Amino acid sequence: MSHGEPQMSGSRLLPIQRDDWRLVLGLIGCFAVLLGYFLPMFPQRITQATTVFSQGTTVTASFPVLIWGQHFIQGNRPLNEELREVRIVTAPVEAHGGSGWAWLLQIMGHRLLWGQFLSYVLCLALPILVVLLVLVMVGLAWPQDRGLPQGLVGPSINLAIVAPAALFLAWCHQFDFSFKLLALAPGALVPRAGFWLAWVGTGLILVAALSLRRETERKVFSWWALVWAVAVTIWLLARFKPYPFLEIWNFITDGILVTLRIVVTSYAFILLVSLLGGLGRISRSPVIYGLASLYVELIRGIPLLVQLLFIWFALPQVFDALGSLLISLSPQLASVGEWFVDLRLNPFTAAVLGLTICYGAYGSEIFRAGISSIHRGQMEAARSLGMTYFQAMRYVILPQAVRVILPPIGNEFVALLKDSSLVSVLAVSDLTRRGREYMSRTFLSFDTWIMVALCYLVLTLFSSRAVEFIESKSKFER
Amino acid sequence: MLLEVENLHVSYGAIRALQGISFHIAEGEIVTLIGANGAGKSTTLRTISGLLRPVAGKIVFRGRDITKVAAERIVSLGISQVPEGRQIFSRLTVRENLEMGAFTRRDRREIEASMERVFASFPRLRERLNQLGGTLSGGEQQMLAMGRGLMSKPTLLLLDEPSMGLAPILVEEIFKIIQEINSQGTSILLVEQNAAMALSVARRGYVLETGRIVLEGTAQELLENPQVRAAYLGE
Repeated sequence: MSHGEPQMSGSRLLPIQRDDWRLVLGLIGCFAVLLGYFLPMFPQRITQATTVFSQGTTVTASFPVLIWGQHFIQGNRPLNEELREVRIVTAPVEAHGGSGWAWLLQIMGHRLLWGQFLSYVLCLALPILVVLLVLVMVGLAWPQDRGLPQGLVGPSINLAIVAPAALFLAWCHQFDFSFKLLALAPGALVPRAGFWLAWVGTGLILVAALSLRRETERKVFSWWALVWAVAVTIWLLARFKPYPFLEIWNFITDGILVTLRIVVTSYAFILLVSLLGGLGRISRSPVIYGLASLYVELIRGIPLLVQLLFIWFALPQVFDALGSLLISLSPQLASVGEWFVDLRLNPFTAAVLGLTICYGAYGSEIFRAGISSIHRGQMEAARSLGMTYFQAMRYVILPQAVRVILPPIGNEFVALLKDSSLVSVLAVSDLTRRGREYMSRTFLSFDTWIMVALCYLVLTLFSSRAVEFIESKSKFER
Repeated sequence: MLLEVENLHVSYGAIRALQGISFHIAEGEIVTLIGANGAGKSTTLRTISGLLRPVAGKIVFRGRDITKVAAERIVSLGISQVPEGRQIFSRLTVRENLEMGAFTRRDRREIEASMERVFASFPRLRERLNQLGGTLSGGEQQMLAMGRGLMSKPTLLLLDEPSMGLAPILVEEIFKIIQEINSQGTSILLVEQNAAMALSVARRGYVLETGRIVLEGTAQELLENPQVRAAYLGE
């Protein structure tokens, strides 16, 4: 099963024997998970928790908001107070002895609880999903001459890797992931047979799936694991050391959104500018070619930071001068002139403008190289079939060039994500600036910047994996 | 007269590729341009199909001056070029490649009819109908390129080096098909380095050397010409 095989050949693994141990193991695993979900998972649950601080402040949270409430309280603790004590109230689980199904049904039955417990539902539902996937896969492979559907193997392996982790998280949800709580309620919160059985079941499926993985040459694991690792690190920091990390997290979350908004918006414009610039760079008209080349050469020669500073601080003066010039030129142009004088870029626009101008220049060169990499004869062939220049570009050249352009332009996205931190000089409250604001307030430099760095890391690792994935989908042999 | 070329001059920047060539093709003829590498054969074809603009000179097709007509318009006038190196669309299937050849035409039934005619000339293409163009052999790709060229229903087909990179047995097959296409009423301007093969199917020929026509005559005359024999037929 080589990677680049033409699509028409079967997308199935070699036929796997009915008594193949991996299939048997997977089926036993499925059975164990299904059975485990009918047995009690937990004997009791926490219905109320009260947090007491050193100067007597107490905060109480009860069942529906308990899980996040606890940590929110600990993360946003009153100033100058230390956490002194946590008191909990537990109650036996009524419905169906606390089996996995009962938990799921109970939460699904209450609309109000959905939002709060969505993650819990996901944690419990994921192993079930794995079971379904394995059953479908085995069902399809059951007639002896047919192999496993390859399209299902990859996803089910990936899910099988996550499923035990999800079950573990379900347990954490129960205990609010705090060993302090576990110590406060020994016995009451220890997982029961159902939980362990479900875990053993997903474990068996995982083993079966991992050994199947060797049959496919696809790297299902790949570096996605690293993205997970960093994300989990952030989560662990926030959970185990809510002060200061949860506080930092709460403070910088809006910065992450601003950063993403800036990056996505500018990237859309960058693609457009790059396409136009690239077409300009291969234009036969000396004027268009000259303008495009001038743009590329000038912009690539100036550091991004200087460009951003220019746009933010110097461009308003340019507009002012232009406006006064128009006003003094003729009365008809006065209104246009005033519009220029009054023109003020908001920080977001300035940031997008700066990033677009700078990255558009690099992108132009990528598009130019991509388009020139397609044999000139393809253009001539298309032209001599009756296409105009633009039709040939649109239908023949660009679709082929995209496969060449994709890897470098994808890298540009990752680079853009990192360089977007520079716009924090423009009074844009992006991730970096929020980090700086938090640090200047608390002087917790190490904790702040490690958190900011981890956030960037998750974003960049995730986007480079995504780029890799898109590339792998568009690979082909000429 | 189907096509008349008068005193054609073409330059690539400072390089003067064609320095005043004149020739003509009559209705129903196969005419060949032979010559060494860089003599200007392909340039001539690309100028006729409108991909290059001449510095001076005139191209008249069926009584109409097409010197300044855009490439995409020339196709619908009835000239179709099969480019050098085949240049099929490797990610499209054989059927899709052929449909691209009918880009200027809109009538589905007429297009289907043309496709049937292409399959009659190239039965192998029918066998490979849903295969990707890039997975065909060199000879099949050449057939596909010619089939694609025929899909616009041209009165004049410009063939640029159809024998390039093909095994001798395939070359013979291709040239047999060229004659067949011609016998169905399509005139052909054939550019070739394989002079012996080209002259064996053509009625008349022109010999190009560094942008000028140095010899012309019927295929028979050229085959017997001692200069041609020495330079292009390897004797």
